[in-house]
Amino acid sequence: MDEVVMHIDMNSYFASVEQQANPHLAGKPIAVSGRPYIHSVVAAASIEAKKFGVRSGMSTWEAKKLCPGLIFVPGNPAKYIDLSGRLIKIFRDFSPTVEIFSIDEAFLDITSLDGCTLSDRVQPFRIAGEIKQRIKDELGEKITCSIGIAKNKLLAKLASEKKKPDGLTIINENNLDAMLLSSKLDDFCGIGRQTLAHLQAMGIYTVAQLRQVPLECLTAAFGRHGRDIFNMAFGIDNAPVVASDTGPEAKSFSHTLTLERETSDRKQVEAVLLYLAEKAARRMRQEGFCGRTIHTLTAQRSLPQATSNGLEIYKVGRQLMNFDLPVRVVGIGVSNLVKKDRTSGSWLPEVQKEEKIITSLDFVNDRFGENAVFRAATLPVFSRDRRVAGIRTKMRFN
Amino acid sequence: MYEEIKEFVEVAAVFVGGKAVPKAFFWRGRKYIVEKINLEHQERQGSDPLFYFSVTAAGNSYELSFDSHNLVWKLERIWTK
Repeated sequence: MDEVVMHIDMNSYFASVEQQANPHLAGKPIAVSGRPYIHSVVAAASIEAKKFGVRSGMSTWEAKKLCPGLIFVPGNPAKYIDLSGRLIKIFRDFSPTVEIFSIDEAFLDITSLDGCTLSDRVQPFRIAGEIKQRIKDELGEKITCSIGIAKNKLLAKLASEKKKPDGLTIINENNLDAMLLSSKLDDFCGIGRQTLAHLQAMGIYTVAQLRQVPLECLTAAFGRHGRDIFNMAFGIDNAPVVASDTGPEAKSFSHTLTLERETSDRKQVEAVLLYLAEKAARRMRQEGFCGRTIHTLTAQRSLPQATSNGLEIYKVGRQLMNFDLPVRVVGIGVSNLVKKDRTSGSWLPEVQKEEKIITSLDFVNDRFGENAVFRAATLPVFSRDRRVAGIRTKMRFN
Repeated sequence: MYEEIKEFVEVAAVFVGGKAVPKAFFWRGRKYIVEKINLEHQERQGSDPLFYFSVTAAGNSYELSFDSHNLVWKLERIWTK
């Protein structure tokens, strides 16, 4: 018996949440962005804004050019994460196997639910309808989702893309070929801009053309990903739905920040780098990890001993940075992770003292909120946040 | 656009099933009846949960927050256009 996989994709999620929160935004083209009046990017566009061509990742000025009436709304990640948690709770009431794909997408394995088969649409449609209703009742009527149902994750995701907003599409044996052949290559999850350009350079523009290409050609061009691309053309995907609480552990912790403008000011870049290193280290400590390999956007280095000390990570990152060139994006991360309880602590008194200080700082930040205490050297970075430990700061970079 | 207010306000609320439900608030000498709660969400400030309510009152949109640890309400922001 085929598996029955459901893909739920929240429609214009961040923008819908803001429209739900404020009826004055409902039915209008809005863009959720960082800060509206500075150089920023669109994090999410409402359904109305998308009609003007506004897309996620687009710069705010470009979006405004496409849609002069566009309303910018500052994003609130904490709000979206909280609501996403409530969505996942709803999904888990319908299936024990929920794979969280992103903040606004999830896969559900509904195979084991009574009478759930792809050939008989009634039961899967009933479940999808109930999920949609629960979302409307518990979060709000503006927050809608598109649901795709099929025998595997690839097809379920493809199905959910077919109708937006508030769609419900099933792919079964009756319509499999029609659905595949009517899809564009970049409708498939796994064919991004670069892969698409590569395929087009090979003269492959449609799924029908892709089906004609021998597997060997695709593996020669794309390596191991070639087989995935080959399988996509036939709707084959063997990846199971993996419940997210049993999913793989984190492989790295990293943060990047785009500066307001390109700069050669070394002090400014160092402050940002320290801020990001501290942020990554704090997350590592919260999840009980430390790591050996430090990487910036261009280089990496491994340490003899794993660490979760932000200052130590920063010091390595600073050595890896090239300060001769102007910088626009600063990034640092830690990989090669090990669980903290599997490492032996240092016997050096100065290291032990530093660890005690870090533990105390974590305790204060756990109790009173992030950045209740922080390194003074990172203060310039907070001009972006404006609120530090409840105090407004007007300090700027320059 | 939103205007950040961040002022403590007096709120008349009822508690239903362990949840606070704001019914009216008093801000700058005026009473605002909450006509509709459009969205609720929760954030944390350290170990304390903060409950946010996006509401419609007197035809405008407001965001209220309730700090259940310190038992205070704040008017976080209003929609001005």
